[in-house]
Amino acid sequence: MFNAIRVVRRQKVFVIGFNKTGTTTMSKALRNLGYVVGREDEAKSLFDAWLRRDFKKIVKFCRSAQAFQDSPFSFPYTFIALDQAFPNSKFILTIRDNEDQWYQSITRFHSKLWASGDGIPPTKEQLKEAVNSYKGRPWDVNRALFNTPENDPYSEKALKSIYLQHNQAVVSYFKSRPNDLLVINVAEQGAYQKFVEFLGVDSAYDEFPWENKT
Amino acid sequence: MKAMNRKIGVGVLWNLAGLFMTRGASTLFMLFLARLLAPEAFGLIAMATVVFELASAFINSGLGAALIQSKTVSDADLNTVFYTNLLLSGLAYAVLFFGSPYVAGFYSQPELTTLIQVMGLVVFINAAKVVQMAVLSREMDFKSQMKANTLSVAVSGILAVTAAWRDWGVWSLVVQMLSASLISALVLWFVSQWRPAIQFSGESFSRLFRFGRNLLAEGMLSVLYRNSYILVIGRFFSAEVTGLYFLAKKFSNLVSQQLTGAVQQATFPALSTLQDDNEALRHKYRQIMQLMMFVIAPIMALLAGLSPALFALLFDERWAAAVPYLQLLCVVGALYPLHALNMNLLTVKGRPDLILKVGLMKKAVNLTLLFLAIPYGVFGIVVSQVIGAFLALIPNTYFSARLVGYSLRDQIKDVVKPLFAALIAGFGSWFMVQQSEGNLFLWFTGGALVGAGSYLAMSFVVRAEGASMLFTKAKAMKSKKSKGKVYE
Repeated sequence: MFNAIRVVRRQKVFVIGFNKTGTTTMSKALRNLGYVVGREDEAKSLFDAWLRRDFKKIVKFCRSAQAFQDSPFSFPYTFIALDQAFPNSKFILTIRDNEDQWYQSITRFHSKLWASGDGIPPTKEQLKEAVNSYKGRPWDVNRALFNTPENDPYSEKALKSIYLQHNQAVVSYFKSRPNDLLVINVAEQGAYQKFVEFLGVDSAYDEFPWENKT
Repeated sequence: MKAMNRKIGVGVLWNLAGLFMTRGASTLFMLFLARLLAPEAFGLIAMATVVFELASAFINSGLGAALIQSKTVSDADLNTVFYTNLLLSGLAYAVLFFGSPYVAGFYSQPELTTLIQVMGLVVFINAAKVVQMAVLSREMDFKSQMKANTLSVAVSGILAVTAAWRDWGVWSLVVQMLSASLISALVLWFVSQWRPAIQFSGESFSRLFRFGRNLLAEGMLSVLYRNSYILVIGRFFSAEVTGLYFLAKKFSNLVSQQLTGAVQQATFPALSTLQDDNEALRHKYRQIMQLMMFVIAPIMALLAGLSPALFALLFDERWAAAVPYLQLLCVVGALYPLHALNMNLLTVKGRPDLILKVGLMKKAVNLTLLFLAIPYGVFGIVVSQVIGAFLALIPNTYFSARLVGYSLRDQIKDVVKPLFAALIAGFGSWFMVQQSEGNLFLWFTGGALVGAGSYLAMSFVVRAEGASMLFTKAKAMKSKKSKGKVYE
């Protein structure tokens, strides 16, 4: 019912970095600044649409809020459709110090969620049994995003490569419009000031609120 | 009859004393806790509290009020209400326990699940004391209830501060809620002579519920409306912002609603005697309006102007973001006496039907503004509250004009002088605390003095009626004192 709210004529903000690059921290920071952030649990249902590259459904969902992050907004190609649908939007690419740090973070996190929690990433069988919106979704997402062997779904080389490719694709796309993209590492000194300056808003805070530190 | 009047008078005094002490202590503990806890903790509790208020409204169903209102009450009545409340509280707790993940999902706050499941115990405890409170109220024993409230606030506050000091975070506030409820219940059971017996009367239930059922729906809707801003801010934004708004609201309500409420309680009996004399009633209401605005307007203005320094002195930087909300809410608070007195007038004139009518109109307007403001963020939502407060003057004063000839224009004339003077005071104090050099406390004090001084000076210049009334009363008291001295 509440998603009947239409947030129109307000500049959209899309956080398009991969998971475990500070997207949750970014979401909270946006909420604290007064942005209506799209609901992650409902956005997950758009995964099938993204698989089919049916961006119309995703665009329609974006009318229910002002800022968005996580699936499917952080998935490849989505940002292109959003940029076409919502001119003058702001895009934030969240990154880590390097691909090694990102890989360690995501495997440790997914190990805790769907495996033994000792840092060893989940297997195919574990991902198929895992529940995230529905049973088996983690496996479906893994197959859709990462071109990895089924017996090694968290191939280090492959995941790092895809992470770098995504970031490079985003930067390349906005090459001629640098003011529409912010590439940010939320852990860097002064990152929050860059964030609020990019959005063109005032803030009573000096730094990001930390969430999901892994 | 004289003895009864004396008993009622004593009861009222104890009731007022209890309210003053518990609210004062409660406010003090809240300030301590805000120094130790993050805004997010308060936001989470505010989100969860809506659920418990709904549960309480459901459980009570007005049965407690029915016991107090009834001319005679039998043991069967008391026992029936007691067990009904326990049964309903069990049902409510089950709903809360298993429904907590959905509440957490509504707010996108996973940690609310466990919080609500634990805090839900309050529902049980509160249900166990409804009959005790009703019995004591019927006996006009407000003293005992005051003691229960005071003790529970004091002990729970100490426990909460201790827990917060030991980094329990949001659970400090949970400790406060649970311990307050438990201690209050224990004290009430200790001072009350009534004890439940195994007895249930269908006749009692039917009779009492007929009275209470009218309050059930109204009570639950009232909870939703009263917490609509918390619901929306919590749903669409963050726990931190919800906490900031919550504290700002507490501050602004502290002065305007408490003082206005006290004046209403004090004046209602006397004003009721003028029910049929519109001329005298209008005259008296004008005096009360002028005097009340003379007192409340500058306090709200100074609170708004001094709030940056006040928050910097009381809290750390995490709460600084609450200042803009507080400043806007002070505008709402300054207008509150206008709304309250107009509603009070309808009560005095014996027109509760109009109170309901006006209330529905205001609720519809305010909720519409609220939802329209969501895209503009929390600041926009608070602005919508200010707009709603101004718009509400129209239906509020419409019936006052029709009933006693006290129109919106007349009321604006009565309040414009103190409001103007208060505006000067507010900006004066705000300007003082904007100075960033030197000792903050000294600038705060200087701002307060400049604000108060400029208010009094401006009141004198514009000849505010409230000031004139106070001056006249002071002069009369002085004259009386002199006359007494002559006799001595």
